[in-house]
Amino acid sequence: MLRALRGGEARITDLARDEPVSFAAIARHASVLENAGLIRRDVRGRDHWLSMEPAGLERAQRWIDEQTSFWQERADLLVERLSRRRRSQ
Amino acid sequence: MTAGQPAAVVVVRLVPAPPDVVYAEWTNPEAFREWMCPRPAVATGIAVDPRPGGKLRIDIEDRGQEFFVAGKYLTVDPPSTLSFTWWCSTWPIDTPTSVVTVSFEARPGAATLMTIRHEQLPDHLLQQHETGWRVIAGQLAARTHSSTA
Repeated sequence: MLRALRGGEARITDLARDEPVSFAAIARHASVLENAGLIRRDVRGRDHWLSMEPAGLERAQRWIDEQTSFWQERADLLVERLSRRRRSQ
Repeated sequence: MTAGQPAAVVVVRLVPAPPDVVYAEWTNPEAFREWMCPRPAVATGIAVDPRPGGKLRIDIEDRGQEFFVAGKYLTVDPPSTLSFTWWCSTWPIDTPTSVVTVSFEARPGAATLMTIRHEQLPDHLLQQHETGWRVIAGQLAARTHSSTA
């Protein structure tokens, strides 16, 4: 869905036509992405127009980068600690 | 990141110790104190209760700033898998719930391939996960009960 929205905004109906899934499944997926701050929804008349929320993607990428360096550092310290223990045996 | 996939982080290391030793590093508060909180950060309190539903909490002081990470154990399967929810008090309040899954696979030379997977889960998936846990816990309780009856 994010890929489909890269070209601009679209209605749920448009997305349901292009993807091999039901309207309900698309709507459910849209709610998940909306809650995650990755897309935004504008209601105009009867149509719900969806578009990308670039700030949301940047936030998700920043979270990934931060957690990656967090766990890399911890994993390295764990390896160091067990390497020291093996050498002292 | 593609549509439908929540954010995920994967870190893999070959650790020079067998799986049971590496696994124990994740459930031993003293070991945690050493490698989970790199200096200058100091763990001011560590509580681990590695059983399904048990709590995990680490209070940290880093250059005058105090914060904590907290979670709840989901999968406790020594020495191969450990998973728990993970929340850091410095994250924005609307950050989705995240889950850390660590797996330990034996490798030649008394070594372990350790894979840390940290992912954010949309709420509906997390609920499924927890429902699954309740079912498993119920089955285990039923089995224990029938074997003692």
